[in-house]
Amino acid sequence: MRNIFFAGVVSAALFLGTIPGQAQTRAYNMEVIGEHNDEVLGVFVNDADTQFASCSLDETIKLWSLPQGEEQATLTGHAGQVNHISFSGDDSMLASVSSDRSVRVWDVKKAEQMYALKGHTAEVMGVYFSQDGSGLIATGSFDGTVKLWDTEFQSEIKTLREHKLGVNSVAYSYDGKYIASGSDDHTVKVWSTDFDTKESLMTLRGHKAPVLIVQYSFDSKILATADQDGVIKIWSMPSGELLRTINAHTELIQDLAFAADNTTLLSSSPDHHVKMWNCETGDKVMDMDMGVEVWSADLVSNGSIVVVGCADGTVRLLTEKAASGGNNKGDEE
Amino acid sequence: MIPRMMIVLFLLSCVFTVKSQAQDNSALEAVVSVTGYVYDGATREPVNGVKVTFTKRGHNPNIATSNKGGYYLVTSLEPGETYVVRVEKPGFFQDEFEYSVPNTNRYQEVSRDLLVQPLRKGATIPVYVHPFELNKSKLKVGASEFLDEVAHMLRLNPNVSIEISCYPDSDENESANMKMTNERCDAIRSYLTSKGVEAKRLSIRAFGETDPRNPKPIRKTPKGKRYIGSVYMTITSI
Repeated sequence: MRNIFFAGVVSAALFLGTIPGQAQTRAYNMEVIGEHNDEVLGVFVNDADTQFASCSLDETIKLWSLPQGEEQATLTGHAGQVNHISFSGDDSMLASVSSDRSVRVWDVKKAEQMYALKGHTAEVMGVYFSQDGSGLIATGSFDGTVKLWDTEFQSEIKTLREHKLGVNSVAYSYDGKYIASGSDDHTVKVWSTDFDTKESLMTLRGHKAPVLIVQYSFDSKILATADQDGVIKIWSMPSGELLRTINAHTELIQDLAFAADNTTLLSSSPDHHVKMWNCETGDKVMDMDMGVEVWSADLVSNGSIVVVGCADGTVRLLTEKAASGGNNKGDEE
Repeated sequence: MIPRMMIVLFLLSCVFTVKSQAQDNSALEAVVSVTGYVYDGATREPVNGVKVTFTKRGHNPNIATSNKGGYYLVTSLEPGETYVVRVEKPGFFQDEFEYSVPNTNRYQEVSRDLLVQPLRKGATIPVYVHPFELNKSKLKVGASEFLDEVAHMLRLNPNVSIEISCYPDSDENESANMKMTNERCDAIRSYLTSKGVEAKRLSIRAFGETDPRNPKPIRKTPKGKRYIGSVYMTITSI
């Protein structure tokens, strides 16, 4: 049942007052569409833009429709907080990872758990389903490893071990060739997805704090990474050349997401802000104060709808208003 | 005579070729290897000399011993079969669990890291997967996964006694904290006794202030790192 307790639609204009005199190029209305029983730690929009999933400290996952924002199902089974989620490329399966150390795979249509994958020896923080139909899942854990799993055999394929501290996030490149991982050791590593290579292909250095999130663009040519100091770095891939550094938030950045144009990047932070960037220019094209700590945000392909998961347990939809002009530079280094 | 000998030699070579191919096919049968590292559950350091034995009923065991870096490799496991895995080294809890080998039709190497818990008086084992929610003393759903392992190890090692200690999530109200941490200790003890561990082997110790070895962070912490008071199990006798 849809649980709307914030009936009114709040104008984004209310939230843009944080930067007086500077117009945004994109503006959004905000609506709270429902809630979990505890903090929302992750949101993920499916490939068709018809559904999204949210996961929470309350140990559940919820499925929601898009663009309506209606709650469709609650998935239970994890024995600890669910840290992140990812749809398969064909949207038929959902992978989730938890502090119960397990990876679980769900049938989205039936809203049922298919199986659990066990092998990590600490909390599992990051997950990314391959988007190329290969049925592989990458995960990263506080045990310091990145693991690649095969959904066909329901087993682990390989464990990647070079990080010196816990792994906070993983991302699968959309061409299926690479996995990126971000770690408390301040590095980003890029790995091959072939079954045999266990050494990293490259290590990206430059972050001065734990790397909390990594995200590939849809064309796999850009890797965005963000850290505990609120800094975003934009890397050209597969060369690994650093293109840009943006001092984006005043607190840690917990989530990043690309739009289908491979240029628009969304960032979210417990500093209450959800921001949108043009990662070619470093321009900030949207900045909304949600009034509450934000753990996660994702967007539909054209960026017209943004889904936000908040620390107060609410799930919010930001729906784009008519475009407005102006420019707003981030604090580029 | 010579043509007849040639025919015999030809037939013999055919027989050997067929036999040789049969052996090759046998060698190509799918097997699975399990590799990984063995870590000390208290320090997270690699442990060498740990004997890892995979046994399938009615068959010879497959045995490996972890090397200096904690690495082990067990090979020639049959796909789709279930093995009993025994992990043992003097000075550590003996552990035993079932392992289902993935069903595959090709050679496959899967990874499984192992934790061994120190078995010496005074050793303190942190509970890494927290059994409680923030500010709650009821065991959360799934806490049984870890506590079942503890109960299993205590049943396998019947001379061992432990002390369960719990710390609070904040320093705001010491008396309320004491009440909560006492309840947390009781919840763990009750669970372990319900799983066949004698109550006399389980003592408890509750704290009213946060753990000095694991202090509450000042800055905002990323998701997954929200502070919940520590829980330890300390070996009191062996």
